[in-house]
Amino acid sequence: MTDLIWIHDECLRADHPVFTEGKGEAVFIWDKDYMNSMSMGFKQKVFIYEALTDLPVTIYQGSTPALLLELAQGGGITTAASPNPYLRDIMTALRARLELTTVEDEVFAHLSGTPDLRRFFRYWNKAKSSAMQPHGGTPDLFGDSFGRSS
Amino acid sequence: MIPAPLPRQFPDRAALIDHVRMISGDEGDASPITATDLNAALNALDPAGYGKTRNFLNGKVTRLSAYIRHGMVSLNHVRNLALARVSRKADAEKLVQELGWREFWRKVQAQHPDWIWTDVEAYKTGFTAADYTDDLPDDIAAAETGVAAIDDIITRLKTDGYLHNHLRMYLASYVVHWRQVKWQAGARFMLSHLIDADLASNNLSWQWIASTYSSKPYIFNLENMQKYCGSLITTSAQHNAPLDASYEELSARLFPHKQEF
Ligand SMILES: Cc1cc2nc3c(=O)[nH]c(=O)nc-3n(C[C@H](O)[C@H](O)[C@H](O)COP(=O)(O)OP(=O)(O)OC[C@H]3O[C@@H](n4cnc5c(N)ncnc54)[C@H](O)[C@@H]3O)c2cc1C
Repeated sequence: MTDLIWIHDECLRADHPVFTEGKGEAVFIWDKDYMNSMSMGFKQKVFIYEALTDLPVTIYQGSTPALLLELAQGGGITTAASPNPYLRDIMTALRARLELTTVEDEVFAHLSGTPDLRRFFRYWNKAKSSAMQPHGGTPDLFGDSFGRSS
Repeated sequence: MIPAPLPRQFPDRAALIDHVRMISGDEGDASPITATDLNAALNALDPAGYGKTRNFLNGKVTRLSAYIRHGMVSLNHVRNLALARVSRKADAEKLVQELGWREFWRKVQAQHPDWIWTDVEAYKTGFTAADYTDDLPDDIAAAETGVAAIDDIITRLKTDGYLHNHLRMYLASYVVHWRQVKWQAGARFMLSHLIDADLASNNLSWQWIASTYSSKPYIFNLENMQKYCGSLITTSAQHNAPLDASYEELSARLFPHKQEF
């Protein structure tokens, strides 16, 4: 059993909370099928690879869920939370087989209540007072529901 | 069996690019924007200048999108920096609001993953989705539409992997409303060239332009392009005839079945 930190394409920085909250070796899986499903082009792939060379990660090539399961051998995996449905599908597949912990990135804005997502300004009217303060201000003042709505 | 790890060190950028060509099986060139330029972009951040000039092609936009998209810098960090760089909080508001757009699209994506590829609402153009073509015409992919400004934008996209927000809006509007192509085909094309390609920001913006996630279609005209792009792209009337009209004329031409404007 090996604990792992799974670094995906949305958390490519060394001070992302996933590195502090996760345990074990950090790995990135270079997964062609995933990249194709995302319609990623060559330029974005180069950009990602360049970013990876600056991070304390081991890069493997293969299918993300299969390789992570093999590497973890039943150990736990910690990764960055994401709304991306393709990443979420992989997370669901992993959860069926082992313990997966997701870590949120730093807060941008605390929100009071679930925002109306039909139009931007309905969201922004609720988010603005928090977003305009360093670190989004104090959660209590805004009845923090960040993360709960998603 | 666990494969051997891929290399993390290269003699130079060209070697890294060759390596990515090999493992991806792709061809092409890298963007001039590199993953190592983040600190320079953060140092140049000018929130007040951004607020005044961001709509112009040579305005003080941040070019942070690829770093933000890949989590190389958090929205929190950029916001904190923006607030620290202004003497009046209000001077940072425009930039913080634009960061809010990214946060908004991500929240939408989390709540409605199906909206990434399916129409949120019906088109408000007087046409139904069935009236739009499924595939991107070859001349658009090749930057050979014959509309000079549009060809310039496509060429920039394919060369830089980055476009100013206004250019993204012009191109998306041209594809959907001038050429009657489904937004999905245009969105996929843009994703495949951008270094900041992001399903939420890209696809939901395309839906916003198309009117399937907004109350009306977004269109522009040549005069608007001339104002914001100057001579940075080819905006002469003789090379851009389909764009050279008033908003009223264009609306009537592009949306002949639409009831009210
Ligand atoms: C058709 C279309 C497709 C787009 N596709 C993408 C995409 O794939 N990836 C992407 O990150 N953005 C996308 N955008 C949003 C926006 O155009 C880019 O984020 C912005 O132009 C990037 O340049 P910048 O970093 O200089 O932005 P700046 O204007 O300097 O803004 C600062 C940051 O705020 C965020 N931001 C600003 N405007 C928007 C917006 N409208 N929506 C979401 N985030 C925003 C970005 O993270 C950006 O880096 C798209 C917009 C349109 C109209």
